[in-house]
Formats: sequence, C-alpha cells, structure tokens
Amino acid sequence: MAEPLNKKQKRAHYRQAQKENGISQLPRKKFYRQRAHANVFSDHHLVYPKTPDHMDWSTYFPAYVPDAGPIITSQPTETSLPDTANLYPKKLTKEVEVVDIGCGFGGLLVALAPALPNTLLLGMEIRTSVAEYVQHRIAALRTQNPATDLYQNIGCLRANTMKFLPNFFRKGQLTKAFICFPDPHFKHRKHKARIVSTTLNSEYAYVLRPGGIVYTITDVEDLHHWMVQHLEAHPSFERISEEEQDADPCVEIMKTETEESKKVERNKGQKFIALFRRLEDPPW
Amino acid sequence: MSLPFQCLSRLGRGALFCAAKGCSIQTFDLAATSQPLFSWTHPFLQQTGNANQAKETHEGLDEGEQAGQQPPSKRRKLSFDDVESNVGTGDKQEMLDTPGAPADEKKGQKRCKAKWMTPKPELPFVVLLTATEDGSHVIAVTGQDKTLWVFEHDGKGLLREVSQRAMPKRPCSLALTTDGQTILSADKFGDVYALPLIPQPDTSPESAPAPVPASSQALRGANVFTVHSQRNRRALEDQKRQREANAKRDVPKEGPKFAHEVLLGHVSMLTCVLTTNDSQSRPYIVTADRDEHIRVSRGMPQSHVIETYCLGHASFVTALCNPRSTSDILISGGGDNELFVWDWLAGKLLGTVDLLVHAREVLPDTTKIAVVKLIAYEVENECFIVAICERIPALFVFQLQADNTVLHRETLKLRGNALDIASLDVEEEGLLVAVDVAGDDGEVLAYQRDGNSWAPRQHIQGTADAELEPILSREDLDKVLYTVESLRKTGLDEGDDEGPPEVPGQSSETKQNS
Repeated sequence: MAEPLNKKQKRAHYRQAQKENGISQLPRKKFYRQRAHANVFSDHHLVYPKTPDHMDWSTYFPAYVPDAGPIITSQPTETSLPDTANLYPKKLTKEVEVVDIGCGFGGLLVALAPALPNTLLLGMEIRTSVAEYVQHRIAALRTQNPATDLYQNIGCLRANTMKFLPNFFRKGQLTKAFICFPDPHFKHRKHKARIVSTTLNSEYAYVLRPGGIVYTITDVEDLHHWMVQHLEAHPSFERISEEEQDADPCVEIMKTETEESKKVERNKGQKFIALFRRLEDPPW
Repeated sequence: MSLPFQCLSRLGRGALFCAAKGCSIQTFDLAATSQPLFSWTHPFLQQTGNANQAKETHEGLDEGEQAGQQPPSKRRKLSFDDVESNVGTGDKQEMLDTPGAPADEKKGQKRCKAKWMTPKPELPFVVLLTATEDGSHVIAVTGQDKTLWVFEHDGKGLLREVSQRAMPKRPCSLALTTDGQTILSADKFGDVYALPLIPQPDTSPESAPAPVPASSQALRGANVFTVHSQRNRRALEDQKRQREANAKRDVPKEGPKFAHEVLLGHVSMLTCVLTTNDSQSRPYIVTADRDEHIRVSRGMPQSHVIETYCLGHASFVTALCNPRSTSDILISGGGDNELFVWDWLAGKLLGTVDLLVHAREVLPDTTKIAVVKLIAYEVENECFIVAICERIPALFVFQLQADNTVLHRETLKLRGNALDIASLDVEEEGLLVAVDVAGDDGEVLAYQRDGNSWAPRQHIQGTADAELEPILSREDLDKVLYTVESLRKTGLDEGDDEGPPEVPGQSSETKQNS
C-alpha cells in the first residue's frame, strides 16, 4: 500500500479484528478518542427509554437477569392503552443505584466495581466512541475474570444525562451520583451547559433518594466554586463535612482512580472535592 | 387582505374577549357588535406611523435602537435561500443557541456558504395572549422584542398599558398562579420565571437574584494547572494577553432590572407551562418540553421539588390541558399521533386517543400532526376537550368520560387553518376559534352548543388597518404563524457524533470527563 492508513481506516481495521477475535483483550484507547466536548443541547442520535419501566437493562447486566418468567405486563389493561405499552422488559434482580455522570473512559467504574460488589453501577457518557470503549473494556474485564462475579455489576451506556436522566431512573432510585472532572465550559455564555446548575440540581434531587450523595471533583478551581455554590444554594442538598468526606472510601477511589485524576496527577494539577447529601423534601 | 387573528383569550366571565392580530390586540364583545371595542398596537408600529415604510427602510428600528428603546436586533447568519425571505420567522440565530435547535436549519447553515447581514426588522408580532381569571388584566408577549406586556382591563373592553418587561429569552408559554398575582413565563432556554403581575415601582436592582460572585480575572477559566499540552499552554498565554484587551466581551449578561425569580428549568426548549392544584389545594407547576417530557413540580415556594414526570410521549409535547372539573386529569398533545391522558400527580398514563385518524378525515394526505392547543370546555357536567393541529382546517372535539377515557365526538371543519381556540363563559358556553382563511381576511368564529353538536353562531371579520398593519408576503406570514412542526426532531442532526473532525493536530488535551 502506497499511503499509510489514515485514522479512520486504522479504526476500521481494529474494529474488524475485534469482531473476528471477540473482546478478550482490553480495548485500546487510541482507537476510541473523541473530541472532549459534546453539545448537550443538540439532539444527537440518542437512544433512551420512554420511561424507566421501558428500559431493558438485560444486555448491560446479564448476570442480574432473572432466570425464568415471561415478559411481565405490570399495568392493568383497563384503558385504551395500546397493548404494546403494557409490555415492559424484564426487570433485573437488582436496580442500578450508583451512576457516574460523564464516566469518560470508565476508570472510576472499574475501580468501584470491587469496592461496591453488591451494587449495580452505571456509567453514562455522551460521546459515542468513548461509551463504546467503556463497554468493550467491561466486556473484556468480564471475559478475563470468568470465575468470579467481578465486573458483572458495572455497565455503561451512551446518554445525555442533562436531558434524559428521568427516562432512565425512577424517583429516588439512586444512592450515589458521581460528577467527576466535568467539562468546565469557561465562557459565561456556555454556563447553561454546565452539568451542575441550580435548575438541573432539581433533577439530581429527583433521582437520588434522601440520604443519597452527590460526589464532585474537578481540577478547575473556578468550576469547583461554581458547583459548591449551586449545590449549596439548592434547598435539597447540604454539603458534607470534610471529616465525613475523608472517611468515605469512594472519595479516595474518585481521587486516584479516574482516568482524568491520573492525568491531573501526572501534570501535578490540583483536585477539588465536594460532597453533598440529598435532604428530605420539606413538608408539603 | 388583513392579517389573521393569531391569539385569543377570554376576558373574565361573559362575552368579552381579546384577540391579537399581527402586532395589535383588539377587544370584542360577542354580545354586542362584531367591531372591535378597543385596539392597541405595538409602539414600534405606532412610532413609524406607516408600518410598511418601516419594513422597507430600516429607519424605524434603527431609531428605536439608537434611542435605546429596544434591544439591538441580532445580526444573523443566513444561507442564500434565507436571504430573500427572512422577515418574521424570528429566531434562526437564536435557535442555534437554544436547547434542541432543529437540525435542518443548523445543517443547512453549515453547508451553504452563509453570509452575515443585518436582518430586515422583524415585526413584533403578539405571540402569546392571556388574561387573569377575573379578566382584570391582560398579559401579552411580543416575539421579536421578547417583551411581556401587562394591561389593565376596565371590564368594558378598554385596555390600559400597565407595564412592559423585556425578558432575557423569548417566552414560549405563560401561566398565572391561582391567586392571579404572579405570572409564570416559560422560555426557549428552558427556564420558568416568576414575575409579579404588577411590578412594584420601588423594586431596586438589588432585589434581582444575586449574580455569581465576582471572581478575579486570573482565577476565572483555565489556568496552568488545567492545561498541559504545549499548544494549550501557548494558547493560555495568548488568552491572558487577550483577556486584558477585551475584558468586557465575556461578562455575564446582566439580568433584568425588574423583580423576577427562576423557579425551575429544563435542559430543553419549553413549550407549555400550566398551574394547577391537587385535591388539598396545594399548587403545582406542570411544564412540557421538546424532549418529550412533562414535569410536575411543586408550586411556589417549593418549585425546586420535582414531584414526578409524565413520560410516554415519543415526540415533542406542545399542549397541556387540565379540566377544572376533573383537575386530577391532564391531557397532553404534541408531535405524536395521539392525545395522552394522565393522572398527573401519580405520573401515570391512563390512556391515549388517536388524533391523526381524525385529521386524515379532513386532509387525507396527513401523515403527522402537531397539536397547537388543547382546551377544556365544560358544559352541564360534560367535559369536552377541543384540539387544533397546525395547518389543519378543523376543530377536533373529544369528550372526557367519567372513567377518564377520552372519546372522539366530532370534527368541525373550518374554512382555513385554526390558529387559536378559547372558550367563553357565557350562558351556553361558547367556543372561539381564530381562523386563517387563505386569500381572505382572517376571522374569529364563535361556536355554540346546539343540541348534541356545535354550530357556528357568530363570526367576526378582521379588517385591515393600512396605517398600523404591516404587509407581509404569505410565505413570511406562514413562518410567523406556523412554528410548531419545526420542533420535530429530524434525525439529521449529527451533533458531535462523528468524532473528531479531521483537522490535523487536533488537540485532545482539552478538558474531558473521566
């Protein structure tokens, strides 16, 4: 061949080889890189369930699919609902309780999997090929650990959480939400695109149960202040004290195991951490 | 040929109503005469005296801008085919900054060699019109200048301008709290603002929400800790130098000077806002957006608490309706073929009813519909739901049964497309519909219950006012009047799906999630 392969062709070759050999090797990041920003306001080609009940989790957590039983129709057919609306996918034996919003290359998920062995963890990532990388990574880790249940409790899907979080999770379904090294959106006119904002925090409060925790970490001091200010200003959240924060094992993992935190480490950057507890809703 | 009436609202109990026509608002008394009792026109047209002149030369607007009476018109990037016909649509450029901008426009602009031009002044059409329950105040929004107007109504059709407030983004829907003292305005950016109906004159700027604390320029943004590649470091150096030069460019936009409060927000374009109460009279705010969501939040002062979502729509939601007699039921419609019936407080879908099939009886080639408005119309313990769809010349009347199912009762064909509907609280409750009759003056029809059916009883013809009415081509007019279908997702929007653009040396060292 006269010319060296361009990036697209190399990726195509890599995917082809993957298809033929199955995913037993850990995927290589260089074939999955994608621009670090995504426009959260645009439509994309997103796939998301109409309601949390319509979400089919079985491909993400195959080890938690109940053994038998037909498809359950969980709503009575009393009204003029079309029949298909009553057919929901099978529920898992466990529900997802922890999300990593903007999971990137999935370092946190992989590190948390053994630390929270009895909890289902889901990474959500808006960039297609990065989400695909994490999916391949999880598949490879599962193949490499066939004897154990290790890594059966983590999954990753492509989603725009700023728009569609309530399509995936019921009210109060989650116990922890991680927001690690989010896109800082430096410009003022882009602040609406930040993942933490007073109005969006209401959605986090909706999916988290009272007592649930939002974990934030960033290397951008300005963004840290922004997140603290907006979460503290929200009546559904209170900041968790430093002692309690240091005692939480998840904090250490978040600080050292996410891909971005390793990069910040390498570059001797700073890390700013803040945790917030979801409070009970006020009496109504 | 005069412009059609595009918005209707009843004025309290009785036969009075108001209608918006172009940039004017007129009041009518159905019991008396078919002539308007009163007419108000946007000052932009009054100033220039002759609207058409204003449209052709830009003088009117320029003067306005120079005098600081209006926000400056936006420079808009236009593709070639837009250049000829850009009056009135409104918001091409604005849409690009807006959650979920329709994709075809985006793509089109990318593909065509776009050029910049100062737009012809867009006319301040009345896009929203509503009145307080008792009819004492009328609230209107004009699109181009994003201004919210409040008028006092004397009970006899006379309107007196009380206030005008320029909103940060163009409002898409209005609602009033049950006490009628607070306006809720939902905008294209996804936020719902609460504004007092009558702004307090003593409102000092301090009462506006506190801005983000001023951080020093050095702290703001990226620093040496956050960028690492050589390229980005160099860029950072450049930025530092630039920053001093144009410190003014990226300052946070100042909020409005009048009292306002952000109640809640979606990361999507809002399409409808509604206030209602539960059985214990606790207030709720229901909001619908372009991304198929219907959100139920608590009312003030706990509007930060989301009670539930009503999920199930597969396309955008544009219309919500909450019958007064059965206020636990919510009916919604939008880009889907059906209307949806909800137990809104439980977030539970009770049923759907096909609307497309009835639209096809009117226009057989119809493949998709966009519901413009839904109203509940209650007569003698019977509750009817009336729907209108964009570019379909008919009213669709459904009945809400005691078991909360919805049945189609009748389709009333019209001479032209229905633009708005309203109900009147008169003896035999009347139904008003604004009709856009192609090639003729617009009209407002009043229907009345006639036995088991409805019959048109009265009809009000719009009259052209050459002095105060702009002349628009049909094409331009359509762009102003028919905006709902454009909310549909086209699937053409690639977003950032394609991965990094093939730019050599593309830096991947910028921020990313991990």
